[in-house]
Amino acid sequence: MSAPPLIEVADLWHTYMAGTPFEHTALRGVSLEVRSGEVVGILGRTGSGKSTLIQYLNGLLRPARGRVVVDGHDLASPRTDLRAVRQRVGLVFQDPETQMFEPLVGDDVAYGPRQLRLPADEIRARVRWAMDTVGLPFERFKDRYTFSLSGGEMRKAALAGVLAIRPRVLVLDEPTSGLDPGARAELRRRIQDLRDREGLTLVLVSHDMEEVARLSDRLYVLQDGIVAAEGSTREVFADAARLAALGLAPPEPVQVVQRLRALGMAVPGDALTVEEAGDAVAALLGARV
Amino acid sequence: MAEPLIVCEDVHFSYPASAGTEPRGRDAAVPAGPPVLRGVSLRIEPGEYVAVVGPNGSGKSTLARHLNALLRPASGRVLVAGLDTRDPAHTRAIRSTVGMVFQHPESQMVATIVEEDVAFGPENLGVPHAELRVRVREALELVGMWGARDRPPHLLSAGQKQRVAIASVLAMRPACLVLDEATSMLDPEGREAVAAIIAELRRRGTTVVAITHLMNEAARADRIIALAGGTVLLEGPPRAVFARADVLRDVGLDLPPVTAVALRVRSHVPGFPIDVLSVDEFAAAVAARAGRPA
Repeated sequence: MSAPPLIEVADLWHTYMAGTPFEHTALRGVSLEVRSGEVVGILGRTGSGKSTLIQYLNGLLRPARGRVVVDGHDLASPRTDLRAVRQRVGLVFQDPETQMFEPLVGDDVAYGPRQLRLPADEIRARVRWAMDTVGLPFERFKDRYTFSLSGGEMRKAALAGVLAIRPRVLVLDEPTSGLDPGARAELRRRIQDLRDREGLTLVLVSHDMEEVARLSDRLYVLQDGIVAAEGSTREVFADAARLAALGLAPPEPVQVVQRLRALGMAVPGDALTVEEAGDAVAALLGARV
Repeated sequence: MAEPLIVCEDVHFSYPASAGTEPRGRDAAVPAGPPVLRGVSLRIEPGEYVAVVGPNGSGKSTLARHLNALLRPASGRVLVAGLDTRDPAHTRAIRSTVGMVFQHPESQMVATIVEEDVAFGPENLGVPHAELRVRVREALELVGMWGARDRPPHLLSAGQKQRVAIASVLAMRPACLVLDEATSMLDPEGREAVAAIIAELRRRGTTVVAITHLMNEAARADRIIALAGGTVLLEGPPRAVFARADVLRDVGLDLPPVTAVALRVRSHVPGFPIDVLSVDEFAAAVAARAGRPA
């Protein structure tokens, strides 16, 4: 008997501006689950319902139609302890650096734990852990001005602020967009460590297919407010025709392998990343990999 | 040989050290912060498509803002169609020659209806009404948004908003369009739509300068200028620039994914070509090695 999922969404509907000429149904019966310790990627073109969906995962929105259960808390129930839900699920929005408001980095990261009215030494311990975990060493960065940080450092500080709440699930909306390739690669490594070393469960929303391929175990693809495809990352990216119909394309390394197969070449394996695709093509060409 | 459209000669620039002051350098009492541009020299030819890449803090966006006199060099000079950006008398002419589109299209939307938003710029230039209508239609058709001309911009998707922002600049008929990370917030379809617009602009002879973090986007340009630490690190056609993987990696830049796969193949298969920029080129290179037609 497997443990119940950490997050369960069943037949969730959401309508914006109901009863007006601008009425728009953003979610039309979405069902998904997030199990403890996995990384779930959510894909879909702009307007497919991704941003609406993730606002349900920590109770920013509460279901009027459908079910959302987070670690045993039913979000439809008026008696649900929303504070408990928000301590379990941390949401990092797109461009989180625009939401930093304390002048010093350490204070900004401490904001969440202070709201929880934790003892001072516990707050300090959490801030130190969160900053060290994202790669902003506590001693070096706690007294830096937030505005003096680089783009990549600001993104890390915002992530640390959510981590300091010690959630079990972290929901990341476009975590590396707008960063340069070096900063992007580093932040991805940090995100991977959160799962591998800290045991966090992750929900990742991203337009960057390379990123999704590297980080996710399973994917859900939304289209017009419904789950149009789901499965393991390799399964979903393997079906290029289906993805194209959903306005997406697999990561370029996967496209390379698919093109070679379409040309009748027997590329071995189910490569997902640059390294895997390169090795598979080398093997095709007779190299011992 | 035609005159270059834009010339930067040994451009140096720093923002003022204290926050909140105008970065114009007119007030000599305002101390300068650390240098952002440290002797940038380059030329953009008419009709060229140039991608500017570089790590965060390399000076890309600061350079872009020098191309239409939003910023002016502390030393050195920038000439746009022969006009020196330091002379305020030229600012109007320079801004109608070089149009800018930014990362967040909302920042440049002014009207409540798409058509009016696109008309705003040329109207301010004093374009007569009949001509205005022609320009608005042409610009919206080029970006594929004519059908949405009656809609409020805030109800459009991010990609659609960015296309309207581009149309608003194109309606002023600039000789050069500068895109400052204009696709970084868009989904893959939105990026493709912008790529198609750039391709069409090239056919029409409009110069395009695109600042980007996306190497597969940069790979489509005629020429890449890679900045690092406020100077030009590498410059040349994409194939030549991406052949310098080690130099790029040292400053935190990537290869386009397809080129990176080729480099990985080469680590096992000596001599496998790494100057491949697209899936098609990659497939052809493998087919040639495997002894089959692509």
